[in-house]
Amino acid sequence: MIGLAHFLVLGAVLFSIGIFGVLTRRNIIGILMSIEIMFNAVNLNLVAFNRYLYGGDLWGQGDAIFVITLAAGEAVVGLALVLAIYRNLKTVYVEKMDLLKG
Amino acid sequence: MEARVPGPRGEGVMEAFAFYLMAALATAAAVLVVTERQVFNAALYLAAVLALVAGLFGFLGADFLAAAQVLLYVGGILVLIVFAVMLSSVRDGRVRSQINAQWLPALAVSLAVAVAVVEAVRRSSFAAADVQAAPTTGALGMLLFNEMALPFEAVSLALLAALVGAVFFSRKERPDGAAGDAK
Repeated sequence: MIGLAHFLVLGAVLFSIGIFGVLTRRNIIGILMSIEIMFNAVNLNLVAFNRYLYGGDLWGQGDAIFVITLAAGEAVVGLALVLAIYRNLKTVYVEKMDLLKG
Repeated sequence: MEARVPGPRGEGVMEAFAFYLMAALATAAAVLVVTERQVFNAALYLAAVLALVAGLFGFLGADFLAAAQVLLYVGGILVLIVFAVMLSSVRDGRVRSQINAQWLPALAVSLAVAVAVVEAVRRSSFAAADVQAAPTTGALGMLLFNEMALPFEAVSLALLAALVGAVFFSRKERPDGAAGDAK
């Protein structure tokens, strides 16, 4: 029987994988993809709590919709920034983006 | 941990099989997203993760959210990411490692987070509510336009700002270098 704990553990595992990706990816698009994995882990937790603890309400799912919407906005702005940086620096590797160093 | 939704007896095994299959595939695809050398392949694995999460939403009875996940994430955000990968094609992606030198501390941090959260889940106790799954689309629409009207408007404002920001960042810069020359 699948319960709330199963989903919480899966969400934790996916979130940690996303953290690993954010910390280790050299490609900035890879970092954005890892952030999307973390968003999905959080959404999974929200919906699982909604289903198993507050089955009569839908607030968790409503929150997840807002998370998805803002993730779309984040992806749009983030990828526009990535392409602007690529136009200027001709790289997508974060260690090459060092214009601010003294 | 006793939070469980009781269901008919025979469905338990099929349910568990479906959950474990989707969870294992999602975890494996997520690992491949963060370790794959080719960024384009990583984007394809990300599509698998997003589709499997949509399946898990369906498993949780969130039918509208599963559809929104497929429409927005797999159909929208992922296409944007693939566009960005194509437009910033990296020629040396095949030979150079895509992982930086800090992978060992990063592994320690992410493992610590996972262990901490799993331990917290293990020690917690949630009271179960036995509610059967029902279609959510209508009720979710009522919720969004009544109680959640204020966040709804705030999100529409944020989307407008994202639209303007994306246009601003992706416009052609003037040849006189008003926005600054990089090199």
